[in-house]
Amino acid sequence: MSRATLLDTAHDRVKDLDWEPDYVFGEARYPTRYKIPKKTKDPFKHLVRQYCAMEREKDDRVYGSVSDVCTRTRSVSKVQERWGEAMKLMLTAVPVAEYAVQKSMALLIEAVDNAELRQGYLAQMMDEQRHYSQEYYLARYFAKYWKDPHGFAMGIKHKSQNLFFRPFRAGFIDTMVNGDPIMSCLGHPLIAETAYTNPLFVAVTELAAANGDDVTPSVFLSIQSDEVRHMANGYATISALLSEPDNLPILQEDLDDLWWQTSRFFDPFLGVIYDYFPKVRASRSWAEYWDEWIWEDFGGSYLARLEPFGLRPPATFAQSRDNVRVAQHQAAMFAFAAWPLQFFRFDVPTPADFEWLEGKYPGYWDENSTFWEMYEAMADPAEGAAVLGVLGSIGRLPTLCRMCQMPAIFPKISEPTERIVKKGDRWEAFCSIECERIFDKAPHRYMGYTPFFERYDGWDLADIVIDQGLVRADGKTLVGQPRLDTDRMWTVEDLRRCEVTIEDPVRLYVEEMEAEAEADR
Amino acid sequence: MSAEKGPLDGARDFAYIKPSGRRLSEYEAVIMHVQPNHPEFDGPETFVLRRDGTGAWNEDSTALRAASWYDFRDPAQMWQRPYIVRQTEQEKTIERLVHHWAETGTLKAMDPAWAAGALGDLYVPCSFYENGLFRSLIITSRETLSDLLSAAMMFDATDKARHAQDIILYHLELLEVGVKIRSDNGKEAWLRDPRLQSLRRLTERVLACRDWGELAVAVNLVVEPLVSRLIYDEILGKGAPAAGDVATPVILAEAASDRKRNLEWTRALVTMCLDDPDHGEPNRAVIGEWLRSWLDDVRTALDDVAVFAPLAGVDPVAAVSAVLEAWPAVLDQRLEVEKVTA
Repeated sequence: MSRATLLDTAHDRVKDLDWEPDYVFGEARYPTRYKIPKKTKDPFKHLVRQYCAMEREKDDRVYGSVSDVCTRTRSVSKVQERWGEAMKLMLTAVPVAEYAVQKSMALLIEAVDNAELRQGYLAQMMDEQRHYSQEYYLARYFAKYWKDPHGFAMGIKHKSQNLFFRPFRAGFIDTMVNGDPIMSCLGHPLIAETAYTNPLFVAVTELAAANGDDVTPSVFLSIQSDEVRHMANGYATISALLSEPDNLPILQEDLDDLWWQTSRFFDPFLGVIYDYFPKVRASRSWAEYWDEWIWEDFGGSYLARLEPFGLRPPATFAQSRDNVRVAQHQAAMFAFAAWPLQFFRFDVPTPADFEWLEGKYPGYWDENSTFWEMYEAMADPAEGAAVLGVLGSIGRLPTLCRMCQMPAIFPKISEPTERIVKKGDRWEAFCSIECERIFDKAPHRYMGYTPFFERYDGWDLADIVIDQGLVRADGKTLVGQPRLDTDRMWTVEDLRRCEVTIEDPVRLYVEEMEAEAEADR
Repeated sequence: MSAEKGPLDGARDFAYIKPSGRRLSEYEAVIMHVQPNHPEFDGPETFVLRRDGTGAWNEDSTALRAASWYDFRDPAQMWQRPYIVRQTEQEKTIERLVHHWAETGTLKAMDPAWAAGALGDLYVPCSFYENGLFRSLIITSRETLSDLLSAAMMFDATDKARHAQDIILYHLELLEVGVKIRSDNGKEAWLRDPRLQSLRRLTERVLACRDWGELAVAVNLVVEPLVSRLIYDEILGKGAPAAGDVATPVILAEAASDRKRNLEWTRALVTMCLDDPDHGEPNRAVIGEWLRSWLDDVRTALDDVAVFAPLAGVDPVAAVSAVLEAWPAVLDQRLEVEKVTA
């Protein structure tokens, strides 16, 4: 028997290591509504022995390049400052996502009673451990050498309570670790990993390299080399599920919901990073990357192969394509306006940025110039005004969706699909009918938190910043800044002088409505 | 290369982590606080609850209590990179030596009675035992209340998956060189051989265990130091040299070093729970009850599996006594093991 045949035979034996208990029976911890077929294929056939040998070689290359080459060549000093600040956002969000994937694999290992696929899931669990450890290693490296270490050294503290990360928890992390195991499989290997890891780990490296960042590509490309296996895990699982006809309607429903939830956060998040944080521009915009990686590759190739089994692309797939022409620009305005609530610094976009944006998104300047002119003027603390305060004084702030926690600013801030609806004895905001529909399926699942603006209703913005731990070690300078200029940085007192009181937009809406009703009477 | 100084300068390491030693270790830096359930950083909120209305990580996932689960540290400081290095080295050693002994005819020269009785009837079916431990640990690692605990349990589980696969690979090598040993995968024996049924029952209980603290204690403080030790050290390890089986002790030695590491992380967990000023006493009662309860099932498995001991030239009663006598040394004295064994 050749070595290859022996390993093949060993792999076949691993598939037969399960048995039905006769003596002690445990309850399913992670019940699924799907029917799981016994027969499937693990497309990679890795034993632990082979897996470890492969990963060790890759680890040696990654850690060698980061700890040795990049340090000796002073790589960090060549990174564009604007891009380096964006890495704080990435290196806080991505490790937690890897961790959630790891946990969801445990759910799958229990639910999918199939030893062959289980080997693939185990390898993926180990991969995720590899990924988040590498990402923390990278964040630690940046913390050591980057000119403003705070967001790298402290970012992880903000991974749950931060205004921007709460949607990430809602739309991705908590959904995956707390959902139906098969739904987790759809969320991670099928949607997040197949649709979004190419833009995340491949296209980001293109932007990173263009912006002088040689360190991130070393790590991210190594990570992406594992993702291919994860996509295959997802495909093998979905293919197996589709062999049971009863699964199809459930699968379609879950695919539709999860696509909406995942893209609701990922598209604006990645779009802002791609379109607003590179100083040196790549040739393509987020919408163009999206068209190639997601519309054509994920939709055209990957999902199309599932269509003969009856699985259609997500119901809102085409809508997502429309959104990526506008959604990130709305998100950028909200994000830049909320700069005091961040743990990284923003850079004021320049005329060259706007020229590029106008070229990629015709009509951009006419639509958005008012905001950006205001933003530039108010970036200087001497102006005595904060953008968020001005927005709050013009009208109520955007509500935050009870389901996805994204601000109700889509497709456009001027024409949001916001809905404020009474659910039980509470008024709840939704960014869209799609989110409200998902909420209605299991309302109790989304009531485990207090919405951000409700929690801080009536607070001075300066006090929220203090409460969120966003003040530097000197006790006065803010961590978040609206510009990269360090000659005159914003302090808590600067912000307090702006007199910005946060008011819960849902409360304001209800009060307005009641006042109108009263007036009508 | 040193970092630039200026108005932005600040902490240059993960200052949110409270290191267990004087300086932050790499182990702490690359694992800690990725699990979003830290009371201070993440708060008590869950943004999408489970269907039953509980949160992502729940205190009642174990009967143990601790002031902070983030105080736990794996004494081996194991994170992904050193773990992969360690596993690769272990597997290289096994692969190189087994291959060498296959080529030199050493494997084929082993005592046929040993190969058929000890390896075929006991060791080969143990791949199912290891696989059961793997499945239970890997799934339960989801529920642990800190990322450090999850990592320790996940590596523990992966060890077991590797052990199961090492048994399979060795069995195939033996068949390849023409050793007279069962050619099937041992599943029938695992399912029907009366000598293995109490071991299977014990493994099924491990699979049904839902409390992650209990699972760690049961597997690493009771099942492994007693049952695995009896099978692998007292029977297979002691009998192999006399039977001319040079490879089995090498595979067993690598697995034993994993078991020792897993014993240590579980002991660290127990020590932390017993040291807890508010919960130490209730934790002692909980762990004591677990030990008592698991020992009952383990004793039956020990007695049944010990019937293989004569194949190794070992007296069954003496073999069981040896592991039971050695057992108290793995436990914290505060657990008063003599009350448990009584």
